[in-house]
Amino acid sequence: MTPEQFERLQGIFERVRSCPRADQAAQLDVECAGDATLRRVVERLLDDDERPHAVLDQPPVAAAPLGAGIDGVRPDEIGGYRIIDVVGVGGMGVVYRAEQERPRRPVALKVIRPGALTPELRRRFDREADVLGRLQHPGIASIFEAGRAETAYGEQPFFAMEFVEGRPVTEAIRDHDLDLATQLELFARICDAVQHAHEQGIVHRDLKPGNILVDAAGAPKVLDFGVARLVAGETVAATAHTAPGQLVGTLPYMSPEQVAGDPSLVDTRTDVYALGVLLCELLTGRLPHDVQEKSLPEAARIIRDEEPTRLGVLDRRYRGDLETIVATAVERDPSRRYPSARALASDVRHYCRDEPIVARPPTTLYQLGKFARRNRILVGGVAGVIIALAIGTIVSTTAFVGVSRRAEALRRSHYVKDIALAESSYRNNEYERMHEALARCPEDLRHWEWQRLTYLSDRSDLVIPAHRNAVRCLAIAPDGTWVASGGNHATGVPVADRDTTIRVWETRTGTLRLELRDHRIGVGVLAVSPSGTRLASASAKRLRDEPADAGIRLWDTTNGRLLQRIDPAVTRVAALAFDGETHLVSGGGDGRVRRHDLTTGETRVIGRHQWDVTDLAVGPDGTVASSGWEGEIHWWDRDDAIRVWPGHRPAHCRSLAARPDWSVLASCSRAEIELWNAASGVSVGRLIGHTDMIERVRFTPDGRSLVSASHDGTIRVWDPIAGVDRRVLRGHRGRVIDVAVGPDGRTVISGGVDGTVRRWSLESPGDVMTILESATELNTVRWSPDGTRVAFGGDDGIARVHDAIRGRELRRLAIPGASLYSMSWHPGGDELAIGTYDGRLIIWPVDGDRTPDTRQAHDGPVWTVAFDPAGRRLLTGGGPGTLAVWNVAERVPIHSIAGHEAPVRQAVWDAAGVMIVTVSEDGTIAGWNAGDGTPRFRFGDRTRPYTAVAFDRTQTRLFVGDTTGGLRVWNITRGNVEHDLVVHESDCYGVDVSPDGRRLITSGDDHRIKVLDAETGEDLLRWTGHAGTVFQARFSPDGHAIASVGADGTARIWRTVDPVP
Amino acid sequence: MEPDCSPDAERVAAATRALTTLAGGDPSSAEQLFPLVYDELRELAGSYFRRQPADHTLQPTALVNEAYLRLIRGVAGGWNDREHFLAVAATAMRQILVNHAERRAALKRGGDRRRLTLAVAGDRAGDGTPEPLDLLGLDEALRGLSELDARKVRVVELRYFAGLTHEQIARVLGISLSTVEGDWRMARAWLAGRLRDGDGA
Repeated sequence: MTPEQFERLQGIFERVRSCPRADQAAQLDVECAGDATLRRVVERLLDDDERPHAVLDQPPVAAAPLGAGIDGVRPDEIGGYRIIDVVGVGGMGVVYRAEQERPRRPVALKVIRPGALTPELRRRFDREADVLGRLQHPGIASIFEAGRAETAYGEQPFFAMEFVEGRPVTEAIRDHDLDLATQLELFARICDAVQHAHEQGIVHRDLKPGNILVDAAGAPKVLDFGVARLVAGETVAATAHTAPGQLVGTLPYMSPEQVAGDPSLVDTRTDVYALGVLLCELLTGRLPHDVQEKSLPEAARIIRDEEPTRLGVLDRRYRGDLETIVATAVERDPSRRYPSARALASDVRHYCRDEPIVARPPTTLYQLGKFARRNRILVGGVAGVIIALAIGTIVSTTAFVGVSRRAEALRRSHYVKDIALAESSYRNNEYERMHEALARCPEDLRHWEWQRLTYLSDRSDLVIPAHRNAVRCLAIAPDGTWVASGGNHATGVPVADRDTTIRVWETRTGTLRLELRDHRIGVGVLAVSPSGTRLASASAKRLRDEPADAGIRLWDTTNGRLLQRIDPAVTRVAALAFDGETHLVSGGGDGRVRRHDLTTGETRVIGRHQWDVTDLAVGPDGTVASSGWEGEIHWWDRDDAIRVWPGHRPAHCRSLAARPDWSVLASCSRAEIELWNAASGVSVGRLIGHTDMIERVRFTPDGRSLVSASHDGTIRVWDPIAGVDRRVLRGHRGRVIDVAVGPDGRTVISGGVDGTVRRWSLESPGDVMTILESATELNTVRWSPDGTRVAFGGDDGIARVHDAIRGRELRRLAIPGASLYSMSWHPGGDELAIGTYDGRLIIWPVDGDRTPDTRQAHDGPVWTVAFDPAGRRLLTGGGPGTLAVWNVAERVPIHSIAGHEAPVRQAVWDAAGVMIVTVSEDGTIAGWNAGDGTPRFRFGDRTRPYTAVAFDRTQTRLFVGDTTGGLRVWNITRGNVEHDLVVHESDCYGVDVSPDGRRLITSGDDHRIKVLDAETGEDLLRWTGHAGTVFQARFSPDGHAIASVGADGTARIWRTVDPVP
Repeated sequence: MEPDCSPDAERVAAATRALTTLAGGDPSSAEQLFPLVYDELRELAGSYFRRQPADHTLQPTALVNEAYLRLIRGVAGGWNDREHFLAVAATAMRQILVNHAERRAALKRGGDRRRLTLAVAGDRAGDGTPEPLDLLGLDEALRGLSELDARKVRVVELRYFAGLTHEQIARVLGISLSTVEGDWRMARAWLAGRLRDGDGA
């Protein structure tokens, strides 16, 4: 559409609109004269003109429609209530803290915005308001009055409610370290309150933590009973159409029938569902449906169509009765839920008293019911099995709820929550919160996941507590041996308490070399001369009610002596740079760029910005570029011939850097960096990745990288040509304000509001080290026994051995035509056994020149190879289901067993080397005597193809992964499944146990790697490790790192400490 | 500018100067005032966003007024000054809110998520239903509209982000009240369509 067309459209719109409704159609015929498209557009405009609009009719100027004018004046009184304060503003209106005259009491006054009520809702409001007023229960915030008040903006409905001082129940529980029994009793009391309302015929419809507060005495109060229906309309889905996203906070608590939008299905059991979700969240911190990251339609579909995640999967310790309780409450079919909130509360209390609960594991009951209907004759026998299962459940529950174990369970549960919190804080750049959560973790529980998060939380290799408050600016010596930092302070700090020093630190050790004192106000800019012998500094700001401290100081860096104070001719210097040893360029708060001759004292204005100069770059030939707050970039050569680029106008430009060859300038505005061709001023690229204001950009001396410091707490190292950030340096607690790059191009120094100066090495491995990017899928990875090398192989038929520290390739063996499926290092670390898709076994002497030994081992893929712990025997497995054991020295088979009906996917030795365990696609797990190949045991119901296996540390249990994404823990001595977990969305391909046996890693088709507690099966850390299936993930022999390979062709190392070469 | 928490004296002086010439009829002063107001508002809003938990109530009018008081202190400014100031602040406020929303959207990734930003209300106060303000969508739609009719965008900004009444808008923009009303009505209907269809660009 062109502006002319738009203008014409408006004309038609206005003319039609001003017609009486009856004549509008005729007018449309005339105006649109056969143009159907135009007509449609006008009709839509007219339609939208009449319909209320949730966003457009509600200015963020929240108070205005309620009688507050432009001055933000609150109404003094509404409906006889004296307004004290605004406590919240929402789409539907405003909530005030108010006071009732008689009886004198504080009330929460919820005033509905005019226009928020449709006529139908208004009728309902009148009808039901008095019912709500009769709701009296200690657990429910009473509604004193529901009425309508005349205001300057017309008639506005309002509710006067009991004013509750409290915090959402989720926060209260999290912060108060309540034990399980107290948590459950609190929850039961919430159910009691809800039950009371139900008995009065009132359904809440919008139960969620924000509506359930806990007061200072620890008593729960449910807010807004019935209000959702009165103000939001019959179905939440209807609301969703007018305001997409409205459901974000509410959606996870909505029942399938609410999501489906059928109001006739919504009843008291809808609240039971929400209570079940709440219980799950209170216990595990997670929701039964993970819909937070999903789009609205997708989330609705999940709630409607998918089974909620079982409590025991979210948190292994809650398997059993609590899991049954939650599962019953959140049944998708309301008829299978608890019939009332009371029934739910009652079962929760049964559980607390170690009494049997009423609900039965729903699936069992359901299946039994279905089965019984199908086949009545067999019911007796099946019921017997159910009883046996029930007894088993009770026994295990009783054991679980023992007092001391309960305390321990709670401690562990806090650990798990803190790890989850640290992880989510990390993803959201909330480093302060992350550090707090990590610090809370008890030392004895900390393991790989804690070490990994701690490692990620701070990758700097030297931390200098440099200044009392914030570090405002930095300068690094041309030879990189020292770095100067300037301290800054908040406005209003008395002079005596200010840290306005400049401190000079040894870059290598972080020791203080010099302290320079002369500034009265915090130091805002620093610059160092090309020889490194001179340092210039200036104060950061002008303070009100104080004389300016604007003089530029010139210091001798060899002895810390103040050489000179230069009058900058402005009250604030915002940028400084040396031009050779004898000249200094300054940028002022007045927008002027000045060149100061240090020998003559002469000052000359060479350029001028509209607003503050924010940064300067000076080239070796005296070329100067500057950025201004108005967004422009100016640059001029020796002869002061100036070029002005609009740069970022009308946005600001905070910092500017020139590539050392002056071919490119980089500047930043908000969270973006823009690259400019320095000759033409044409933008040549944009670097996006920071999530908050960038304060500084600097090039590395080779010009190949750009470093940026941001308020998002990170420093990013960019490849300006590729346009991507190669590294994200995390460690500062809070905003990063300045950054400098050492002359070696490998050292980065940063300073931030946390008062620290940090040193970073760009040579340290990244958060994840990708040691190989292959064009084909990588299938297998194994650490060498000493942990210094990693071997991997894939579909390209090349076996590779890389240095685990630097990632360099050390050796390779090309096996033409092969796809490499499995590998095992000889315990001596000198030979690598390799299994291929076409059935070959290759033993490759990795060091030296001996030729590899190749033989046909199986009729089908060699899925698994493994040296025994002593290195004398080697097993291979795969083919149609065979296992073979080889004598390593003589390279001859000792025995071969056709033990499975489908391929053996993995075979492992026990620690003593006397037993072999195989898992197979035929759905069985078998144990064999290593000596003679005779069978020891066989488990498995042949329903799930097994893919991976590992022994636990006691050698009595097996962790077995399968193609459903499940992980079962089999007890070998008893032959039963101890835990049955779901760890991946589809196939689980790799399982490995940490050297100390406390952790387990799994990897799978969902691209994820997971770290689990090997004892409880609890999910501790999970991340997307590859851009494709992760076939294997293995702990390093020292347990500090994990190596993984995947279908994306990459091999990666995930560390918890930097390796020591 | 960290950790400043009160406006630079120079900024105050410059803002006052710019506002005085602006009120005196020099429209180019708006360009000079904008960065000052923007900066001041951003700092105020920034400290606000930091102080408050996510999804808490944000009242741009309060911020705009606070910025006015802080920047234009000591000036015997009449309502005329104030309206001109608010006119500039409206655009600045829009940018700040959008930046904030963008930042939050970036944190959450994913296309659908981009539309669910900056709820202006917390539900903790017993409000029940947080009203999400699709700022990015609105901004996109406004940018689309600005290519068709920039004045309408100004009317929306002044009304929406600075809370000016139609009479005030008419004075600030130097147009008649009926024009303001016509502009608003057309813009509102047009934007409603764009917001509903999600094709704001």
